[in-house]
Amino acid sequence: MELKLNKIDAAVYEIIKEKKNINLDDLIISLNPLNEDSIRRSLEVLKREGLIDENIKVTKKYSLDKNGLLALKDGFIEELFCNYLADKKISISDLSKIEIPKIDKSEISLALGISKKKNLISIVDGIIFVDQDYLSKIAIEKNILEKINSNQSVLKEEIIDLLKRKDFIIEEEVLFKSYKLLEIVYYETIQDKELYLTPDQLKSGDYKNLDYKEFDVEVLPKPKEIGRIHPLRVVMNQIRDLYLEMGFKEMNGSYVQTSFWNMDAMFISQDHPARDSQDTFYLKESGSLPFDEKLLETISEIHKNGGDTGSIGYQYDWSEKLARSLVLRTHTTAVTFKTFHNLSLEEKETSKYFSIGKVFRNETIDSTHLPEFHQAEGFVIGKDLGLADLLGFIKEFFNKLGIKEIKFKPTYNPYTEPSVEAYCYLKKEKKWVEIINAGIFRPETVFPFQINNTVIAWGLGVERLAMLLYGCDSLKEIHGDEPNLDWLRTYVLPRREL
Amino acid sequence: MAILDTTLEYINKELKKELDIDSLDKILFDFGLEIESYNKTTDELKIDITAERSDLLSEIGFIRALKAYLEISSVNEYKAKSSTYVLNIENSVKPVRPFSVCAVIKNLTLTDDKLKQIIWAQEKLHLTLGRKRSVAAIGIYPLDKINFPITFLSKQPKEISFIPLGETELFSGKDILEKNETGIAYASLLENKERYPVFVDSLGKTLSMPPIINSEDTGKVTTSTKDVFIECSGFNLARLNQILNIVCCMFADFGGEIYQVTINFGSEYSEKKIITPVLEYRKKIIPINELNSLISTTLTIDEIEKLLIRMQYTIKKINKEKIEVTIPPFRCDVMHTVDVADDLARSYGFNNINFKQPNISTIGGLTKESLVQNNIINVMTLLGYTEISPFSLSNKKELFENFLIPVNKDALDLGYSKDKNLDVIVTWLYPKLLKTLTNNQHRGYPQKIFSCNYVVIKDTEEENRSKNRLKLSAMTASSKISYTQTVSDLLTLCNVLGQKLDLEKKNYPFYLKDRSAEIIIDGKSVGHVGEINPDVLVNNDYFVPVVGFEIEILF
Repeated sequence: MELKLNKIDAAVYEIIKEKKNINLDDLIISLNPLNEDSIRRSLEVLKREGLIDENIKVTKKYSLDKNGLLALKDGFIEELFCNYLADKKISISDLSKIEIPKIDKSEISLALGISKKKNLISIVDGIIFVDQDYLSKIAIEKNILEKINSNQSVLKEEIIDLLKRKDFIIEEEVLFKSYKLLEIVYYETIQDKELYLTPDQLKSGDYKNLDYKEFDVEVLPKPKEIGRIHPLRVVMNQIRDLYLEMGFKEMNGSYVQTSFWNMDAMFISQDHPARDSQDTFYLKESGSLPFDEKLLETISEIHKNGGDTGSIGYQYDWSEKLARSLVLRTHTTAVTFKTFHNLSLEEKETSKYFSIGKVFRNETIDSTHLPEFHQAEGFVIGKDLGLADLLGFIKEFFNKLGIKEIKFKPTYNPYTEPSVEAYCYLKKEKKWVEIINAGIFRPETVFPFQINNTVIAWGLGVERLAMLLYGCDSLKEIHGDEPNLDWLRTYVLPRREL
Repeated sequence: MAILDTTLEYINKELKKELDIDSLDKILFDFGLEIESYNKTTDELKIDITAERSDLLSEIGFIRALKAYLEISSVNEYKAKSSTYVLNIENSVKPVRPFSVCAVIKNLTLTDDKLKQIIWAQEKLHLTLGRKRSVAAIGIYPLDKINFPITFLSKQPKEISFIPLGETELFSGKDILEKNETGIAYASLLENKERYPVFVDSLGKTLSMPPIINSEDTGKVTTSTKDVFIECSGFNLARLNQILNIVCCMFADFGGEIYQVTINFGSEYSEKKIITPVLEYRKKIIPINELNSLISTTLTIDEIEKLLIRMQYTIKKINKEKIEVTIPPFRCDVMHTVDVADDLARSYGFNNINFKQPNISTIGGLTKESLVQNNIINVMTLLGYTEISPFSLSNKKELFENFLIPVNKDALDLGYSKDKNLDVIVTWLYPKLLKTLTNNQHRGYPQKIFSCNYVVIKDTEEENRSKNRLKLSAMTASSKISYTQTVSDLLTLCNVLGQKLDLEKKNYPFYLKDRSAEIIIDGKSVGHVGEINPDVLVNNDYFVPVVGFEIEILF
């Protein structure tokens, strides 16, 4: 039986027949303005009919990364190093004292090492001599950088050293598809079937007599590029929705707080280690305390001797000056206490509040620490609440986020007693990890705000939870200035239970 | 958190048990402690001690708690016998380090292992309750080397002269802070003081210069030492007594007998005379329903008694509803009934409590800020922008210099920062967006990103001297960017939110000349839109054209 091809299949076949062997990009160009998806569909048909053969070659594609671009612009670090040293006689021991333009001090020894390895310099009696030909030696590699930058092809052997340098060259794999003619056959071009159903055909009734082209309905096209909310926002929205479902009201506050709201009001002693500037970001200036003499006096008394709370307090003299210092809030609990201050009388009896916001810790950035992260906090005030309500709430909360296996460990917080940490079980890693810290607010913390009922409260790190839900390894992926935009555009939504 | 260093072997020997590491871990988890690390080969075991339980910072104190918790044995009773030992505190020390409390321990049999425990516990107490010796420091001296009464006074640094522990020659007070290793480490604690505190015995021998170092002659405790003198100096009598109690109970568990020391204060003190160690057994009468309701249990008085004994309390039943709880002197963490309730819950087991849902019906809702932020974020994603989540901390170069503008006077400066690249809180979001683009330079284009987040602006009227303000910032990077397309996005956003958009031609340092405008929404100037100045792009090591806008969201 004679082979039947449609017009597009035929066009593709004719090109391949003519060229014998052609790569995909050229094929698409030759068939302009035919659309790429249709061409791919036709290629599938021709392959299926055994007329052509597909050959996939994986090649490496190179482009310049940060440091590579910088080297192209300013010169290699060894080049800058040699430029500077060329007309000087500087000894190795003096290197630590000198400043070389455009080279960071910490990189001088690196520059020395590279220069030595490439024989750009020689060292005689501790003095560094720069080889006269150093520029021509460097020029070879510079030339390669330029080639890469202008998209010319380079061989892997040429750039083996450059690839080893940090953030110099990005190596990507490119699939290179080409098609070879297998067989020349005669075929019949099928009469063009109608591609589109049109309004005119509908109005005239022509559609009844027309034959519509068969679509290859199983081929998957390229996915759409859409705008996405941040993966962390997804988790924050899930948490927020949970709170709203359960009748919680949102509270909001400033990043900058006085130590009074961040620590003193919540019965964190004034010599508590968390106040250390090693852990907390302080601002250069100080703030002021609320105009509420009675509140200040009550809190001062509670710190000193427990006041009327039945506690013995910390037995020291409370300092207003320390309370005035400004910090970047270390927990959103500062917002909770400001909320306590502003609750209506009824809400002081019964209320439920939550907040989701940024908090800050004086940390350097690595895969498990960030100087800022998000906390999702909440509290419930009510009569006859107890530990069972707190633990029950936490269990239900995580259950809805799809985290089922949870156990509780007693812990210590200065502001809650009992205090508890909940751990969830990671099936893949086979270990328990902490996911939330919670407790019942101490009487010393709520008494100044005329709250007599029990207050259960909790705070969880959103990034840590997000890492679990997305299976990320590093906090840096989840929050900060170094995200992977590809992931932000393509991440898969974590599931939430009903 | 402080770490207790011990071994599984020691624990098993003391408890007369054969626990493996997993079963110990289980016990500690329910008790509220965590194993930080365990080395199977060396048997080195590190346990995280939570901040309130300073009594667990010595191995013997830890064993004491476990013995009670596992119902192996009840807690010893700690009592100090009276004596004629005296410490005189002179007025001269009041401005530098006003207080000291003391005790004498006799009839000790010290082994190398016990000595190691004592030194470690002392160091851990210095770190924790002593706040790195700034609040309190402990000194321990062999009793036979010193003569009572002892005087606590201050001297000018040059008048001080003794051989510090581990040295071979006489040092002045100044020398110690400049030349002795421990002295250098803690020098900041006596910085700018005209006089330094010292303990001197009745023969004029200097015992130590707290909180820095003991003397070689009188401050070296060895395995042949039978009796010791302990002092704890600092600024807060209550704290000092707590620490001394913990130290005395540790020595008593080693078999020592505790003796009192009378402390006489100089004329300028409000205190006249006290006797230490206090070793007070505080008593608290507690209605059992208070305990039951806080931890949601229905325990009987007998059950409560049994459970609290495991947490080192002594219990007396007053009647069917009330108990008298006696708190041992080393449990300085117990401040309130809730602390007893917490111990009861630990003893009962948090995981044995019957969980329930808080039966409280309230109506929830979002703040106005969040509602507006949500709407904006929704529209921006519909317009094809991808949200980023940049940091709110930055530095002045990144925030201002790279964008060719002067430092914003409304920016808030940070004090000390561990990360040298952080010195200011963001006042606008553009720099963070451009930084994110730079970090994604090699990924697919076009790149359309946005952030709708808070920045912080100075406001001297506020208690916290600042205000959070919500901003929206968006950037599009591509080899073929379009100012018109970006303005079209902005207009769509305004239309959806029901706001009227006007643009007024205006130049900004960070935009390409004559390709930027001021954004006016409902008559108010709220931001700017334009094509980023190439100098700014190059300053940020970015080599793709960018167009963007940033507006403040007014409520």
